[in-house]
Amino acid sequence: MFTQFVNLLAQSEGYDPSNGYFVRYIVAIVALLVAVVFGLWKDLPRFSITRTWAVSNVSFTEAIRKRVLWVTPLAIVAVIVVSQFQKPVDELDAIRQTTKFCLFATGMLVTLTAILLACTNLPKEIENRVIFTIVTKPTTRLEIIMGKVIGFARVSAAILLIMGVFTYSYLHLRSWTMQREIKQRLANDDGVEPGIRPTLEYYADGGLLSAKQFFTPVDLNFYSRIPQSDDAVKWTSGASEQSIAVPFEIPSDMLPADPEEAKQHPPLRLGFLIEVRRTSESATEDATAVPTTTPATRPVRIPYLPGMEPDAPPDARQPSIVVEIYDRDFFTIVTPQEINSGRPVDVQLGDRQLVVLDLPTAILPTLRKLAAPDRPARFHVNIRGAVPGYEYGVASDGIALGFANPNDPMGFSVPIPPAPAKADAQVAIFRGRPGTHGQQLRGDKPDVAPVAVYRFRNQQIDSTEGNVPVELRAYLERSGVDDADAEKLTDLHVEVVNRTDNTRSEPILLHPENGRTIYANLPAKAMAGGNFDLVFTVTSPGSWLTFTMNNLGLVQADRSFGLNLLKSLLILWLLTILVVTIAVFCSTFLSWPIAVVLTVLILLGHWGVVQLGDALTPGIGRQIVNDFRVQDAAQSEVLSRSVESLARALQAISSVLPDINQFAVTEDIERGVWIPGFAIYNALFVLVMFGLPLMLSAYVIFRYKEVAP
Amino acid sequence: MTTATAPVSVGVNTPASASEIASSAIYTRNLSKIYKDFWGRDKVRALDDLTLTVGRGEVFGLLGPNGSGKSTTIKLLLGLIFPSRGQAAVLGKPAGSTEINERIGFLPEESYLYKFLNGEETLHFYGRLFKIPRRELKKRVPALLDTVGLDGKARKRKLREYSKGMARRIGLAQALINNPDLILLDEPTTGLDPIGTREMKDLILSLKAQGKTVLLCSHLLADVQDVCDRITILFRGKMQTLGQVKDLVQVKDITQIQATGMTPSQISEVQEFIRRMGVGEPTITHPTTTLEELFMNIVREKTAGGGSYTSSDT
Repeated sequence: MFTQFVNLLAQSEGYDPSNGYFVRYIVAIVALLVAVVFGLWKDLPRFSITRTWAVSNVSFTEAIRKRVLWVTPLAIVAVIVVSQFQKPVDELDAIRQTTKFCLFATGMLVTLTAILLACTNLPKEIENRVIFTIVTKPTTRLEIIMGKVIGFARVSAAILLIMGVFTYSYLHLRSWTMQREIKQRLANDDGVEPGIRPTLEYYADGGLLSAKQFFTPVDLNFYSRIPQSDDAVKWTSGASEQSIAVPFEIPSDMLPADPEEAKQHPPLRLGFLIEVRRTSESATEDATAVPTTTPATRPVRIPYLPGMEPDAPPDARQPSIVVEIYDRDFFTIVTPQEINSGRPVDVQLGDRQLVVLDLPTAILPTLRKLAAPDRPARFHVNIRGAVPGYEYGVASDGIALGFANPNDPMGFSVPIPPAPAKADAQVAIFRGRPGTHGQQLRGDKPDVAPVAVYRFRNQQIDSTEGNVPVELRAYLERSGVDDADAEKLTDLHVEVVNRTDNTRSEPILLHPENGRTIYANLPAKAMAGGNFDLVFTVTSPGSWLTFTMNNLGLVQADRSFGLNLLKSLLILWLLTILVVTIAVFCSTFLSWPIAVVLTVLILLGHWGVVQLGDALTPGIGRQIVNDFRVQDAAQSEVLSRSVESLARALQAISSVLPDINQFAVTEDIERGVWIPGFAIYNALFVLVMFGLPLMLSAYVIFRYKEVAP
Repeated sequence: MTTATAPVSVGVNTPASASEIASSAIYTRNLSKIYKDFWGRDKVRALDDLTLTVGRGEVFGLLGPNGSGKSTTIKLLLGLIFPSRGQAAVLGKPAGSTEINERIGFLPEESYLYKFLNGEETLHFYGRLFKIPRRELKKRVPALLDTVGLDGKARKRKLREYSKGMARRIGLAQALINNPDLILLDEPTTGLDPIGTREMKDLILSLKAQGKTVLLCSHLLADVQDVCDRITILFRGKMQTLGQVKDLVQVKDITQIQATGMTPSQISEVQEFIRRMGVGEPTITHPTTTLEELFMNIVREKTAGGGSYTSSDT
C-alpha cells in the first residue's frame, strides 16, 4: 500500500493534470480531513478575524521594534556599491544587471528574514512562556498559527515595499541618466559605430526600462530555403549542418527490457518519402568548405560516417542520408553507427522515393530506458543529409514509424504515430547545426543561404499600421575569416512572410554582434491576419548565427515597467508567505535551528531533485552496479534495488514539495519581459496547494502540543 | 498540640453528578500528570489522583513546597498541558476548552508578557483577544491600570523596563481585562513589596466580594491564610489535606483570652484563678503585631499628608 502510494507520488510532477498532478490535490484533501477530524470542526466556527489580526499585530510590531527593517538600508547600500563594479556590454545590459542585483538582494533579504523570524518566534514564545498568556485566552490554535503567518507576511510586505520603492527609483534614475548620455553621444556622433547606431537610437527612443509582451512563436525551423507553405515539402541542407527530427512516443510495455528478449522482438521500421536535388553550383562549393572550418566556440561535434567526411574524395559523394535517434532533449542515444550496420542510406537524385529501414532490435531496450512508469518513451528519429551539394526534401506527413510486420517487408504490425510537443507544432522538426548556445544558421551568398524560420500562427494583431519592433539576442561565430575580414560586419536579413496571402516584406538588413541584442522594426502590415513567418538569412559566408526559441522577441506591446515590478514583488511576496508557512510549520515541533534547516530543505527539495535529473531515472540502480563493478548477483540485486528505491523515494518526496521555480521572476523582469498573468496564478496555486495543507498540519500539531515546557 | 483535620476525605473517588460539575468553579477527579522520558517510560509523577471541588465565589488556596504539583494543577486546568489520567472541569466545561477561557483570568507565576509592548498596548492586545471593542478598551484599560497601581508614566514604558513588581501588576491587569468569573493566580505576591502584597490581598478580597472565584497558588503561607476560605496542601503531587483555613489552623486544646488595660495585680489574680481550676500552668504574654502591620502603619503615617504611592516609583 505504502509502496503504491510512493509510486503514485513519484509519478506526479509538473502541472499537467494528465501527469498525475492530482496527487497534490489528494495530499491537500487528506490534510484538510485530518485537520477537520482533529479539531477544525470545533475551532473553525469560533474563528475570529479580530483575534487573528491581534496576534498578527504583535508579530508585526515585534519585528518592527526589533529593527528588522534596518536591514533594508544595508541591502540598498550593497546594491548601489555592487552596481558600481559591474561590467556591462552596453547601457541596456547595465540596467538589466542592476535590476538583477536589486531583485536578488530583495529576494534574499525577504526570504532570509521570513525564515529567521518565523522559525524562531513560536519556539521562543514557548521557551519564555509568553505563549501561556495567549493560549489561556479564548484564542484557538488556528488563530495563533494564522496570526503568526499573517504577521510575518506583513513584515515581508514592508520589506518588499521599501526595496520596491528603492528599486523603482534607482533604476529610473540610472535609466534616465544613461538615456541622456546616449542622446548626447548620438547628437555629437561621439564614437558611435555604424553597427551600434540603430541599437542606441532604439535605446534613446524607447528608453531602457521596459516590460515587453512578445508574440509567441509556434516553433523554430532551419531550412535550406524558405518553404512555400506549411504543407509543402520542406528542404534541409546536406553536409550534416541541418537535419529533420520527428518525435515519437512508445509505451514502455511495448518495448523489451533486456537484449536477449529484444532479439525475439519485431524491429522498429522507419519509412519516409524523400526528395533529393542538387544545390546550385556556388552553394555546393561553399557547403563543401563549411564543415572544415573551426568556429570560434566549438559546437557539438557530429560524427561523420566513414567515407562521408567533408573532405572525402568527390567520387564518394553519392547523395545519402544517415539516421540516428535523439532523446526528448535532442541528445544522441542511438548513433548512426548502430543503424543500418553503420552505413549511410543511399538515395537517388530527383523523384520522391520511399525509403524503408528496419532499425536494429538492440536499440529497443535503450528506448525503453527513456520511459517512466507513467510516461512513454519519448524520442526523436533524426534524418540527416550526409553529403554536401544536395538538399533533401521531406513533407511533414512523409515519415512513418512502427513495429515491422514480419509478413510484409514494407508494412507495420503496430504503427506508431508522431507525437509533436505542441498541437500546432510541425510534426517534422527541421533543425540547425547544434551549437553552444542553440542551433546555428550558416551564412552564405544571398541566393543560396539557408534560413531560420520562426512560425507565428493565430496571433492577435491589434493594428496593421506602423511597425512592430523585433529584438534578437545574437550569438555570432565567424570561421574561416582572415584578419582583414574580421572587422567586417555580419549581414543578417530579416523579412516577414505572410502565410495568409503569401506576401513577403522587404528584407531588413541588420548587423549582429556577439552577445548583444539587436533591434529592428518590421512592418505590421506584413503580419496582417496573424499567420506569418519571420525569416532570417545570414548573407555573410563564414558567419554562423545562433537561434533559439527564447532569443527572439517580437514585441506585441510595451507595458509599464512599474507595474511589472509590482507584479514581480507580488510573486516574491507569495513566495515569502509560503516560506513563512513552512517555517511556522517546522517551528511547531522543532527547535528553531533545526526548523531553519528543515525549512530550507523543504523549500529547495523539489529544485534539488530536479537538478539531479537523469541520476534519478529508472535504470540508475543497474548503472551504479555496473559502475562499481559488483560481480556477485545477489549483492548487485540488493544494490540495484536499493538505489532504485532511493531514487523513487526522492522523486516521491520532491513531487509533493513546492516547486519554487513558479516564483522565479527575476529573469523576466531583468530581460524587460512583461510577466504574464498566469505567473501570478501559478505562484498562487503552489502557495495554496502546498501552503494550505502545511498550515493545517501546523495547526493540528500545535493544537495537541503541550506548550508548557 | 493537635490541629483540626479536614472534614472532607482526601483523594476519595466519589463520582460527581453533572449538576455538581456544572455548579462548581473547579472540579477535578483523579487528575494525574506523569511526565515521560524519550522512551515513554514514567519519569516524574507531577500530580497524583487529585480530586477536588472548588465552589463558585470561593477563594481557594493551593499550598505546597516547590515541586509539589501546584503549578501543574493550574496548567492542567488551563489546558497548557494535558492530563495523563483523570478528569478536570472548569466552570462546568472540560478544562482547556477555548470557549471557557472567555471567563477565566490567569496570572502566571512570572509575568510572561511581550517585553516590547508598553503597559497600555499590552492590555489592548489582550483585550482584542477577548474581542472587546476598541471603544470599550479605551475606558477599561486606564481603569484597570489605576486598579493595579500603574501610573501614567509607567503605562507608556516598555515592559522590558518594568521592575518585577510593576510586571506583576501589569500581569494582574491582563488577567482581569475580561472581567473574569474565575481568576487563577500563580504566586501573585512574588516580587511585590509589602504594600503591593497588601494591595494584592485587598484586591483578592474585593474580587471575592464581587462573587468571583479565585484559585490562589502560593508557598507564602501568611498570604494564603489572610485571604483564603479553603486551602489544600499538596506534597509530591499528592493532596495531603483540605479544608477551611480557620479549622485547619485552629489549636483546639489551647484557649486564648485577650483583654486590654489589665494591671499586673489583675494579671496575677487571673493566673491564680486558672491554677485553681487545675488545667495546668497558664502562659500570659502580650500579643505581637505582624511586621506587615507595622510596615503598613509607618507608610500610612508618612503618606497621611496627601502623598501617594504608586509602582512607577520603583
